[in-house]
Amino acid sequence: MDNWINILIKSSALLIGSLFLVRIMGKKSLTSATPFTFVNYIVVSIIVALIVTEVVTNVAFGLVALGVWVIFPILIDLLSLKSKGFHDLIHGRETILVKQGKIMEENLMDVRLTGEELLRELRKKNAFSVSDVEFAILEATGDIHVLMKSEKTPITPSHLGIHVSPITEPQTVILDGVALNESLSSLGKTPHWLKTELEKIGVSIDNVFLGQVNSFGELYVDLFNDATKIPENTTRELLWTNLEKCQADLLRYSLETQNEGAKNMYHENSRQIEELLKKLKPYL
Amino acid sequence: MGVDSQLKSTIATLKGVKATLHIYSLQSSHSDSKIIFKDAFDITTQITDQLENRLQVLKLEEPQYQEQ
Repeated sequence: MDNWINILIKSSALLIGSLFLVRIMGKKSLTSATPFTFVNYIVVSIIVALIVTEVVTNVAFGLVALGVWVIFPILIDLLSLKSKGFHDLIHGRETILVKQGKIMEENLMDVRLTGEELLRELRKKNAFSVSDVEFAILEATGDIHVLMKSEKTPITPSHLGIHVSPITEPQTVILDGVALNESLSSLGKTPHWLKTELEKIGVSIDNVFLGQVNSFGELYVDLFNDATKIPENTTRELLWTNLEKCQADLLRYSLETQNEGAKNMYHENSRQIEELLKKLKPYL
Repeated sequence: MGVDSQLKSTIATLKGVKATLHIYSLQSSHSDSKIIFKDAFDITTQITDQLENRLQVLKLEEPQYQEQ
């Protein structure tokens, strides 16, 4: 058999084979891999390359080596799931670099990290001044994560004591003009519902590049034709204004009426709507 | 506009609000917002009921406040 046919067959077979091997080796991203995982992937790829280019003449030997480098890591992963000690032994432990605002020089020495490297990594996390850093840790993967002092952390609604409405993940229901029935049914909606919603805003599904349903069950669409104006969904604003109007109306009636009972009823209800408005505010 | 027709228009608006709240309470995918909208729906239902009662009273007992 010609050499090139030989290589062609081997390459194709191993390409498909290694595709599956890498799939079963896991989903971990290489950028967040520990040094061992990194070495592991490289060895696997080198073995495949050596077999394909016939540097390893005996294919069976090559496959045995490949098997070891694929199966052992999986076993190691399973064992590290079971035992924290084993995990630390294989992947190493995280090292604390800054604690209570103080740089731990001994730990820096242990992981052979220079002060400049530390500063560079801190700057990456927007900590230009070491005095802003409360805590920094070197992960086993080599990433440095930084906890800023509490007065330097970004403000969140909870700092301001603002109640915000909870959101759930939006579901994509239209992609490239095609309705995705699976996500529609996970929302408990039918294709018919989608059709009605699209008719409401007056677009055909062929013109929709992307459609998402938010946690309020409202449909948002992006059209291929960006010149087309879509009516904005103002239902929630309308709801708010209408409630406010009713509240004002009731308050006025309570002032105008002569009947003592009706006066109280109007006043009480207007107060209730006012409370309702406060409660609904984050949601509307 | 007489008192009764003003009250009627308020009731109509409130009914619209009630329906929208009901839709949201059914559509929301988060349980917290579901509860809030359900509560709001219940309160508006109560208020519309009371206002409707008042409208009846206005019609029957105080005809002097109707359209002059």
